[in-house]
Amino acid sequence: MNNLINRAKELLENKTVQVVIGYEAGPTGVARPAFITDPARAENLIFDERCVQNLAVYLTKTEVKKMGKMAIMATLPVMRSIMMLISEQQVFAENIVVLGISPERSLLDIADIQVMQRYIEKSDLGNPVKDKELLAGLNKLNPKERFEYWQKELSKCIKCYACRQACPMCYCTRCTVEVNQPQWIPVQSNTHGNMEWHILRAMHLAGRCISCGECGRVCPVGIPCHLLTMQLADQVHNYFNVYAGTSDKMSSVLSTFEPNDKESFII
Amino acid sequence: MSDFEPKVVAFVCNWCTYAGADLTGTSRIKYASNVKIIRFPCTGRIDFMLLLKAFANGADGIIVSGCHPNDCHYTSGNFHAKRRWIMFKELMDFMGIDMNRITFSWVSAAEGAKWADVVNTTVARIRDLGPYVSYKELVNKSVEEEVKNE
Amino acid sequence: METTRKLIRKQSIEKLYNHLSATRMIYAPVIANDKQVEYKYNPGFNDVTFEHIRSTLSVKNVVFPKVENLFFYSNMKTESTITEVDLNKIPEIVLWGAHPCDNAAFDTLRSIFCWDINDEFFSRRLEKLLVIGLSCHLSDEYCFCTSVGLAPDSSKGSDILLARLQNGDYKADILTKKGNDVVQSAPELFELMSDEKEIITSVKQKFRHEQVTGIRDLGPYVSYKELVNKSVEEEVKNE
Repeated sequence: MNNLINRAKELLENKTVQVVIGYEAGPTGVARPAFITDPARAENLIFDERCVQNLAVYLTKTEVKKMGKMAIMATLPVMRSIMMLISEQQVFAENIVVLGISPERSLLDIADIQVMQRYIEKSDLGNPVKDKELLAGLNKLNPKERFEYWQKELSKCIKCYACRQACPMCYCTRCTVEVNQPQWIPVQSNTHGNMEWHILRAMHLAGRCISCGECGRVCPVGIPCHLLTMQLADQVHNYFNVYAGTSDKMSSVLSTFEPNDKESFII
Repeated sequence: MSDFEPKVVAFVCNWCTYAGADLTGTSRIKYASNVKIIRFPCTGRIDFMLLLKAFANGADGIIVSGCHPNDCHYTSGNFHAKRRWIMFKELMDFMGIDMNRITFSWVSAAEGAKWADVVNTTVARIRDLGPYVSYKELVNKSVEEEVKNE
Repeated sequence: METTRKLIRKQSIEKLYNHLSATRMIYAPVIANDKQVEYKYNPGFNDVTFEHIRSTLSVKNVVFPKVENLFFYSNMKTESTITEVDLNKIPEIVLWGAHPCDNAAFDTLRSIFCWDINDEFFSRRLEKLLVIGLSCHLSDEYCFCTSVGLAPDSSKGSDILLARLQNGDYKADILTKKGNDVVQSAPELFELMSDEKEIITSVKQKFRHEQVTGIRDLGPYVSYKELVNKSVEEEVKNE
């Protein structure tokens, strides 16, 4: 941890970056995102099991970008998000410094994007274990049971869009749901509209979701909406043999194609 | 069974399937009349949300059809569509929405007979499956019921 | 109406619940399978929790539902037919077991919804609502009642306010006419108050009133226009 604090201090003192995005302890014992601009405050940076937020979501926020060059504490999901954002040209490699964090909680030396790419490629890129189990459980049910399950879950949705706000890949300044000519997704939170919203979100994240699970974690009413996007992340790997966030030159899965993409249902 | 006549909506591309359907007509081939055809410039333009809106507005079945791969009027629109449908189908399966009610096909401008076949097979299949009751119930679930079930 | 104090024995609480649900819908807290507290319509008494602190979603839903029909319309060529919702069909609902922090908010909502125009959808629901409040014997570090001028046993907004006693019985404060009507309808459930002490948790005040409301002491009443003009002058002076 000291390595991290010292590195953060160093980056700020040398003015290599203007802000370090990391985690600090909040007043009620949770870890919350920290935006350190003063080298003296770098002492507040922590990293423990409470630090689960995907910090990459802040890299596209105007309030943070205008601070200048940014350093960001990055576990594997955050690194993959950063890679996705670079490949979609929302973040530029020369504007950020990545402070990699290994699963053993030590500081990794990530000198540049190529180093980060090699680190990502060596890692396990499938869905997290407990979510794999939940998905397997759902896939065992028959379609009717699954329909009932999702109806029950999605009837709880209050359309707060926390799932959208927490996702680093949802950076559109004007989201589809905020367009009312036409109104694709009804504003009110009835079950049918909620289903349409979550289907739309999962489809817009197909090939872009890096399975951090934040969307499901932040849901105030406990809907496991991360399972929808993770299921598609699985299927993207099944059909097209790619994992999202593995290269800064990666082309978007649903905007490209291979002439021999295999399917079995088109007659 | 009952006198249930399925309502089927077809999302087709202008250059191949629509022309093919036209040929079916001019060849005087008889086929089921349950289909409402919606013409798009290309299958690549078909937004997946439109399929959901079709179900929400009372469709019991859907046909999505376009040019064969490598024959797209806009070169690659149908390739993009194919990828999109693969993902959409997986998501719908996962959420339990009945994918037996959607037929995806490639029908070219010369395949008048194939179009009739696609429509007839789809309508017969939907007739067997019955009206899409569970989706209609979801859509028509009254506000009072939602409130009561909280 | 003067507050009267009654005793409800432990075994009478279930009888009161069933008596109320015989003629009205009951909105009561239950623990959902993922340990979250949710309010549901008409749960069985054994599913109702008395140990909740806050629910995931507020009870506002009972007077201001998440989804609501305002009116129906159909279009036919050049004519539109509008069918109004029959507000007389709004049923009587009992809000059971909501804490003082929730119940005090109905008044705040009412002052917004009935400010210059009376929102019928809201006020009819509020008229038909009976609130059986529950004072808090449990609290946690996120509680805020004392920071907004309330307390774990505030009576504001309740028609009957229950408080658990040491021996498991409940004290019932009958606060309004609606509450009194309930007592009259089942007088055998409401006995003479005993000397048992009630269990009320204590909640540390986290914020001063003006931090929460933003209201500073403005001195004697200043009209809005004067206030606006005063601020502009101050801004100009401070530039």
